Amino acid sequence: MTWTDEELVARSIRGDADSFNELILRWERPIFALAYRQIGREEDARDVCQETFLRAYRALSGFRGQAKFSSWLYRIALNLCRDWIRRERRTPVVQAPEDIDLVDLAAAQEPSESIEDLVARHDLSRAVERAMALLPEEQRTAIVLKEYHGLTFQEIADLVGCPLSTVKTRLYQGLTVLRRELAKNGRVETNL
Amino acid sequence: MTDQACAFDGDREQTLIAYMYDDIAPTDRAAFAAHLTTCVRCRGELHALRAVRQGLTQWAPPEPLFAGRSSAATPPVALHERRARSWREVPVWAQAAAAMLVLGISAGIANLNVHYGADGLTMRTGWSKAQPAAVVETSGRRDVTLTSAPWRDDLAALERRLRSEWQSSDAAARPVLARSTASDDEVVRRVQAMIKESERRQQSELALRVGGVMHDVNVARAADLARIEQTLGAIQNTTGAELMKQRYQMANYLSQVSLKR
Repeated sequence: MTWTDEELVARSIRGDADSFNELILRWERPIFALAYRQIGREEDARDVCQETFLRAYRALSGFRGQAKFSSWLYRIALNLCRDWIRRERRTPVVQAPEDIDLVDLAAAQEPSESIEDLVARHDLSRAVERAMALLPEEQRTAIVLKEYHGLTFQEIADLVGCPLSTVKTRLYQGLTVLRRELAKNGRVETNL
Repeated sequence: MTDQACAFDGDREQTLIAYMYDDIAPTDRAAFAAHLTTCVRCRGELHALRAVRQGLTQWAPPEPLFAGRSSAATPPVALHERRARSWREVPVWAQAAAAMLVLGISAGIANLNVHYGADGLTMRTGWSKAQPAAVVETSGRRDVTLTSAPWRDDLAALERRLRSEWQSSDAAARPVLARSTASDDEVVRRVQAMIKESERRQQSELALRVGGVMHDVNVARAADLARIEQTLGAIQNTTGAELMKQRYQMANYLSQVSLKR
């Protein structure tokens, strides 16, 4: 039987540690992905992910279910990312190496994909990562939550604590910057 | 295109974003769709921003170290299958390149010595020439025997050991997790232990995977050695036939010259 997040939380509060383990297994990848896209360092993103679950576990009894468990986790993770950025006083880094490792690259190749397409995809990924690192934190957060985690405008607004209209504006501004940056490398159209 | 006029009545940027993400009230959606039919600027910008979103899909975070852990979405069996599939999905050219690299290194380590002389093609391996068992005569029956049996045993032993460690660690972790009435510090320690345990298991799985990959490479090496040997034999046969042909032509030429004299 598959339990909902909220049911697993309730079971964890009653003392079923396996239920919390299940929540970790269910959410560690999304939380890691969120942290990585926010701060750009794999090891630090892993630390943030681990700390997120530790804090969630400590505060589990205080979780009343006003929001979804995932939103609650996202909020903890985003706060930790914000702390990291302030502590390190730097913008997200682009960690990927300059040279292409053909063996690593080949492992990511789709069955029907040519080598040229594969390299182009890799280059585009790097260009996106670099462009995202240029964005202000608020715009990057809005884009990451919308594009990669599929949150609604309202959910993002609740999560980051701003009006719904601000979320849309941040998305528009962030996407426009990305469009300009990607256009510099010929990645998207330049008809601004 | 930015200098093109847009007569949209409302917050254009916010409506454009809401329309693009389809997170918009039906009436607003219909109104903006109607506006798009007449506004080149909004149409162009919508198209460009959709292209940016398409580009964003290409940015994937790296696989975290805890990737091998089972989850509801990816049960353990599926993970094993995925690991095996990920190696099979490596393109043939990359596998061939890896096999050739291993072959070259192996030849260097084995001191492979290929000699073509009056006795035909001779392949010798090993650092001590006093061991006749390492000599392969291509003119005779070829019998390449690889020392794969001990290697398989080692791999199997490693796999057994790792799996038994996982099982024992699982058994050890459950009772610890079952107690839930301890203090906050105790709880934090438990979760940390759980995460550490998971990381340790991940490392073990990685070791097992590396072992599996090495085994695959070894098998590929054996197949390549056999193929090279066959190719060399074919080359030798072709060369011998060519020499015979040239000798025959030379003899024919000499006999014709002597007849003319």
